Amino acid sequence: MLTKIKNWLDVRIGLNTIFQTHVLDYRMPKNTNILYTLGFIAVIAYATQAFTGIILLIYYIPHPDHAFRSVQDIMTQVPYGWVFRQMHAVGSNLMIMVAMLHMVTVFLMGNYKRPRELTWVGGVLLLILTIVFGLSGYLLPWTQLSYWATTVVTSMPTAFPVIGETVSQILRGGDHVSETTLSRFFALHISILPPLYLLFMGIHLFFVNRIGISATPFGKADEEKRPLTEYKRKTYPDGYPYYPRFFQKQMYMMMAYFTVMFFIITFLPTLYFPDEANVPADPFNTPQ
Amino acid sequence: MTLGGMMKRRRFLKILLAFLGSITFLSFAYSFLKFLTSLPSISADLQKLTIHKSDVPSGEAKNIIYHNTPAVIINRPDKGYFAFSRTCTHLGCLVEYSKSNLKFICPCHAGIYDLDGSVVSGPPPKPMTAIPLKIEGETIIIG
Repeated sequence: MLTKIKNWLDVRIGLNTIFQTHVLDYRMPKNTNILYTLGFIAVIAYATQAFTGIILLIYYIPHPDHAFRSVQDIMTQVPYGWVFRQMHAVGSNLMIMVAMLHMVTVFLMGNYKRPRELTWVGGVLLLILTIVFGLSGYLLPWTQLSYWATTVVTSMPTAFPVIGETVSQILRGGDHVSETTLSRFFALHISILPPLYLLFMGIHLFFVNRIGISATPFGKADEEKRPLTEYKRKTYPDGYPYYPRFFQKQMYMMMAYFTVMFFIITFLPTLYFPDEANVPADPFNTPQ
Repeated sequence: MTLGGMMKRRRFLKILLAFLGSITFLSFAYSFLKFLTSLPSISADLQKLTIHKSDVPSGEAKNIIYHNTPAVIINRPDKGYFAFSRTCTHLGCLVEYSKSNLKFICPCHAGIYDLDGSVVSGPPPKPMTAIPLKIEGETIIIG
């Protein structure tokens, strides 16, 4: 049955050729290490956030009168709601950590250097988007923690001269964090950021593929030192095949990612939920 | 028409298109920016808040809501009544009156103000916002 489907697709879109060219014949530099999988883990983290986020949308109500209650219901009433909410909350923190680790390792190994400047800039934009994702999602449970953290963060632009106050007003939709802020953060979180993130991820991966993956600074240096005069994709004809060798590394790291996530969910369930995260937002009382 | 004349007309059309395009873009950008800024305030600006003097005994403070904003009114034995917005000028948390220290303290980043609203220590960049009030008989009128 599966062979039939594969053959059906192959004669129409050349599936085997795609697999052969982009998976079996794709060569990785010999000195790649486990840190090269962090970009892939960031993609997995995003996919996890998108999946769990869509599930949470089924029960979440984006209104100040109902947001806190709906999140509490997801945690206590909805069957297995707590798993998806914890995966989403813990996953958001892990995603930022993975993206930052990816950036640090790329920086330390010098992989941002010519001709990969555009890949680096795209990656930094993705990290900024990841942080904005985190910030906009933080307010949604409408707890004391989320309300006052958002108050502090949305006050930060006021330090900028001239435009600071306007930026702050646009973020909040008024002088204070209110139901308007909740609405626009919700819109930002679920309908503006996801396609934007996918777009930048596509651009980032296009650059990685088009320019060619960089080797580590360890071992024999093979980057050309001469000035760039023409486009030339970096390839490694004598490198290791992507599949199964590097694919295996990616799978190990993916398992490690979910191991850390479920370790936190199981043994440290309150790590990201201090007491203020279980109290509904009170705009007239800042927690001590 | 000469080639030079054609080029001039082409250039003119380019500038015209760029001009019209910019006007169109700016008009959309302006309305989008206005769309994103705050909703018009429903509360009447002239609305005043009245409190009875006995609600704020000497040396005490009372938290109030004035124009949908948390505020505090304080009765100083030496200087009388003062009202301030409770919003910290640093990052927007709400300050609390500390009777023992005779200060306003922000719980978020330890900004401290004296009872005049001036910054004593911590990160606030400017004094607390004062709200005008007047006394009429036994009533305090805020705003």
